Amino acid sequence: MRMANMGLVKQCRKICGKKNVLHRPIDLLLYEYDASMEKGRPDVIVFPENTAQIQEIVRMASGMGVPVIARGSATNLCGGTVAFSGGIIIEFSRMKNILEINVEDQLAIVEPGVYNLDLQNALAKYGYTFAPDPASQKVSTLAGNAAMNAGGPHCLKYGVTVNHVLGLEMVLPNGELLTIGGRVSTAPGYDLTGIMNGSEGTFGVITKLYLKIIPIPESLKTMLISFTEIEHAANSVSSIIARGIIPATLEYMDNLCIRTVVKSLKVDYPVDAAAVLIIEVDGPAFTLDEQVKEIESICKENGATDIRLATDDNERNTLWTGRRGALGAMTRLKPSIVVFDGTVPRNRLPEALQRIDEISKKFNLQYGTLLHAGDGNIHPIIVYDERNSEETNRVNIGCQEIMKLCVELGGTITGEHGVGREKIQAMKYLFNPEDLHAMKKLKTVFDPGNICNPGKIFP
Amino acid sequence: MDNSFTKLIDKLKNRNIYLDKNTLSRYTTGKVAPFAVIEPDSPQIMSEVMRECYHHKTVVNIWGGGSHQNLGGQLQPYDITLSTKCLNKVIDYEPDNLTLTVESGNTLTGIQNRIKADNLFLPMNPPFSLSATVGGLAASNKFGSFAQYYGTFRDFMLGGKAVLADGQLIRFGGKTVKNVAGYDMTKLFIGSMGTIGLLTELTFKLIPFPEKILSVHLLADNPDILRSALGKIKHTAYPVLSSVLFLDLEDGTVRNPALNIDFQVREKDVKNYQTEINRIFTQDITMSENDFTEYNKRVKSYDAFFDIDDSEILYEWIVPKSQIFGLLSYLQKESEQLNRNIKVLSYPGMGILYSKLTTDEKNDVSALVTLLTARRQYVKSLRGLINIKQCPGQLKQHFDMWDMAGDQFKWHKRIKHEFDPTGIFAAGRFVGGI
Repeated sequence: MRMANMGLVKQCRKICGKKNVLHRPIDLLLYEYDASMEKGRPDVIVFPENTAQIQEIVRMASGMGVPVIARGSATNLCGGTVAFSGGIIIEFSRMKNILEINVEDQLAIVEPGVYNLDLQNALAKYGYTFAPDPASQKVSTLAGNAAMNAGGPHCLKYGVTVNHVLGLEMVLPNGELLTIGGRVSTAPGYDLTGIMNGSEGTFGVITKLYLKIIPIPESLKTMLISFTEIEHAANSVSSIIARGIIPATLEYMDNLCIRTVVKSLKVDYPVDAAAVLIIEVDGPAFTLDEQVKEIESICKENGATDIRLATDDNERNTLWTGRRGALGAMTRLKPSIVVFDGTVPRNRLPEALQRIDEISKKFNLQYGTLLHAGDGNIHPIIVYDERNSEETNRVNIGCQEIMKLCVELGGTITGEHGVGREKIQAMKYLFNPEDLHAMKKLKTVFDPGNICNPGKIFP
Repeated sequence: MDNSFTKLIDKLKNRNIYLDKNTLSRYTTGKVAPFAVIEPDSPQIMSEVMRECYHHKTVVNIWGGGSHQNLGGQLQPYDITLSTKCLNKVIDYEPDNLTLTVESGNTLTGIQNRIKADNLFLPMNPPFSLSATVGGLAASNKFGSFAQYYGTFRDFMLGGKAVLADGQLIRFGGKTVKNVAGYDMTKLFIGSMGTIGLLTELTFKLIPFPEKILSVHLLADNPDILRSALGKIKHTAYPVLSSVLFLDLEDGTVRNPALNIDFQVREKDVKNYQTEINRIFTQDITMSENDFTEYNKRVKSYDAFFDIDDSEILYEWIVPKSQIFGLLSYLQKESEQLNRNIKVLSYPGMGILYSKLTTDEKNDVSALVTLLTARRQYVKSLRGLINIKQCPGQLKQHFDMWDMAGDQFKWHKRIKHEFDPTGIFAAGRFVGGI
């Protein structure tokens, strides 16, 4: 077990105070992983209370050549916040204030550690919402959402996190504070806000966010649609998109996921269905019945066997409980899980699902599938036991095959989870060395010393 | 022309290169004319040409449809114009996936016509879409009133390809609506005005062709009435495709005010929306119902506002949404105090206002610089900014055209330097003269 770097700890204590620094081996152990399979032990964890402390920490780390890893709730599924080369983890649980909600300007200003759902709840009082809603929204932080450019079910209609970030305040590797964008809808110059989103903390540390907020739609209708064949569900998704209907959400769960959530979460899902779609439409009440009818009709044409429309908020919440809790429920099946995030063009979904099944059979993988189907975003969840090296090896190879498949079908290796450490080798399936070199130019601009979250994104 | 340049011309002689005066004059920006115009007909040849330019240190100006060449600051001297005119192929069109990949020299109108057959639409209406290429529009991040509902290029451009200063052809993004593999280079190229690379290919997400537009029209001399009408819809999730406000300020008096609020609705919902609109608006409104194609013709008439002549200056004010009417009051007072006429077009739903000023006095420069300083000071108090989008060429040297807040500029300069270390892409028009 690595001993703490007491010189570094002393410096951190001087900046943040003794109570805001952890360094004992047992503490470090708790911060050596995130929601992925990756692991790496940091040297020290700091809990800054303000931006000035973050500036000092980063400046000090840069001077010492020590990595800095910004970490929200570490719900990312790609090893994005794991400290592979040691270093300082900056944790934001002391910076959780919503600084301003301004419905006249339709924006919210928040500190980095605010949970997505806490902002949603605060906004609901004003009839407003923040559209990105990752499944981890109960505990994932907004800075983490921006750093990973998080998605979520409602991103089908409303776009991903970057489409809802107006500006950022960041501490750069030299300790400088940079504000980009802000209270207005656009600004001249290179779109720094755009490139910072999804940069996985490799350019600097986000210390404040200016977020676009939107009025809550007047009305919602949520459907649970069952299919006896996976192919029928996948074809329904392709048909809905091809007919030009963009629901608010268009989610898919296969049979293993259905059975698992029924058992774990006691939700009323059809356990015999091969797959279900959860489709939600929103808008003025008088527009929804027609949309529901059209979707029902398309799904029936494609072989839907049962269509259930939530009759009240309680029933709607129950439907979403199953979907939002699915990933957590799957963890009960075996000690380890790996969640993939490939994305394919929507019209290639039926083929993608069929070939993922073939790959899984080839490598004898136990898996369930969740899809943000309307986005073509596929989450095969493979359950296994990482203590079994032979099984782990099969899982690793199978995962690479799935990512290659997504690229072959015209898609990408990650739609919303990020590259982190987990997918760095797969970046080569997607990009050639020149493409990656161009991306690295940006890294050179902002972090020439490779201090911020090193070892991520690039193979 | 030096020896190196002659060698370059010789090397590129089979690559659609033009040296005649007639062609060169057509590709003149301001008073700066190129020594040659090259129109490569594939990204590979564009890459090859750029490699040669890089090798010979030949400065290039990129030209799409030419409709926005006067945007921004004074273009610095350059050697050749690289036109994307012949990059006009459709690379990949998947109506079932609602995506389209095209080369950058396609015009927006050409694309809209092509996808209309499949009942699809690229949701944007920047000015001059007939001649403007999608590459040029993306590079200058142009948008129109539909951006209120659909956003700008950053919201529906999914990826593309570009040739960098040294001739490397790179790809970024993809054709899925979600993609977080690596840095979002698409965002970097949008609005970069050809300073770090030349876009050769762009992928867009498409939307179903809108069915019907219900428009609310309001004429009122009192801005409070217009503000109140906009307030009726501000905190609702109604599908407001566009809200556009026009007025003239003549010596402090508001003339010809008109507010159009356009709802994008499905045909089946028209009657219900009409009832709802009549319920919401208590002001004296008129309402019209149009097919989208018909409506789009009306929207095209907005282009006239952006057709700037040699005596006009076009200012772009970007403020927090709640400040638009405060800004209008300021402009009204300014017009009275300065005894000037100001024409206004605003997208209040985005907090954006364009104002036009005519410079008809010969010794106007110092007054205009003073005016810009006062305006910048005022707009800063609103936590907004003001850019000069276009102005007569001889005035450009006197203005800082772009309002860039605080300490940001050095980072933009570093990006430029990293991507274009030897200054191959013509400088002058972008922020800080980049």
